[in-house]
Amino acid sequence: MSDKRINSDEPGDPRVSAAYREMADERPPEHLDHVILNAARSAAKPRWNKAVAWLRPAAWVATIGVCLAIVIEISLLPDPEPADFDRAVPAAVPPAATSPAAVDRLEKAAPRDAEPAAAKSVQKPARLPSEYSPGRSDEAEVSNRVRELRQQEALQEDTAPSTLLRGAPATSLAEEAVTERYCDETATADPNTWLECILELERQGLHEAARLERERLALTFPPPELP
Amino acid sequence: MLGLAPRALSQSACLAYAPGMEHKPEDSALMLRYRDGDVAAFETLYRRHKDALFRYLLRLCRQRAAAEDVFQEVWGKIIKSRDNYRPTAKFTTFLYHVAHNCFIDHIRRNKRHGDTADIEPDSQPAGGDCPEMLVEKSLARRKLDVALRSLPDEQRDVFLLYEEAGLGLDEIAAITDCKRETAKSRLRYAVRKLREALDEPPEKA
Repeated sequence: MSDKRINSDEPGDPRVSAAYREMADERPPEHLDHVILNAARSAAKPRWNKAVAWLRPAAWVATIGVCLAIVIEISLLPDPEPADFDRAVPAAVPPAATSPAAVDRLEKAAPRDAEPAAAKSVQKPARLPSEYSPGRSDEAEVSNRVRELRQQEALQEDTAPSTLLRGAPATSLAEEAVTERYCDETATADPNTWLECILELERQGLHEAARLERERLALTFPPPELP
Repeated sequence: MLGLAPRALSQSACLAYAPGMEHKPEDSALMLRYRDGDVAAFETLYRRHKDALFRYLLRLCRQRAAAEDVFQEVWGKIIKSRDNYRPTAKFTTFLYHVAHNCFIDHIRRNKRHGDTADIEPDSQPAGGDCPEMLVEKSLARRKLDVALRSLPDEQRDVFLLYEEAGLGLDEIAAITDCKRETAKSRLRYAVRKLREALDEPPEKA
């Protein structure tokens, strides 16, 4: 090693160096080699070297970006469920739903009638397929509606004696809320004019409206009971 | 002059070109690669320096067991310091600086430096020489070994750094924490004593 040096002021002696080279031939034992190399291997953990150091921040940025995109996309989705149902129910619920039999009919017919409303909501592109379950959600809402009608009916039954005493018609608030009137108040003031109005509706082909008005007429002016 | 110039030029060109032809990665580059997790780079570095470092410690400690302990300690420190390694100087300077400090610590710990010398001289030189040559070489080895042991610690340290590590005076001065002229003086005294020991007639040795 010393023979590589070119600095002439160093006081080396080639003869001494050669004699030392001949003498110095000791080597470390092999078990030390194994110990040291094993220590070096165990100390060298896998780590991010400079070549791929940009991968970690890039991965973080990509993850945060994807999360933000998902959150923004979800926040931009419209909330169609309640509004659609409220618009769909008046056409779906039969007007004579005040009696228990009518409520049962409504209960059976509700899933079929709710399908158009669900189909409407399917047309909206913002809904995700995973969260769309038309049968279940609409059926649940219809059953909630039926439950509300039953509660209102129970309230009506509680107040029915007083209304009967006053001779008021046995119509419910729910019925008023969901039915439409085809005959005006002047026509419904008298049973005969009301019946003429119903016949006029039938002549015009509005059988459903005539049926509704006939039911309302029967509720407002019930036929006398036979002894 | 003109006739000698091309030969001198060709010699210098060969000397300058020869290291480049070897394609050996530098020690600092190997250490940096090991810092980045390349264990093979450390193995290359270790095999390149282990023998000289072991002989350096063996001559300093004078005991094989102590030299092995310090040798292992030095490489352990090199491994631990890989994260903080900066190639501001030659790796050899860094390595022998660590070794020198470990040896000083070893002396302070054991207080046994200079008690006994159990380095077993190699009694079987390489074959191929005639018996007279073998005897002469053996005598020279023994004389040099005795002379080396009899050197003061500072002179022996400087001589070993010069011979084993191949360091220059500036680097030796930095490692031994002395001035360059002091290192030069120590080396000169050490070489002179060893030369005198080699020149001594056999009966005096």
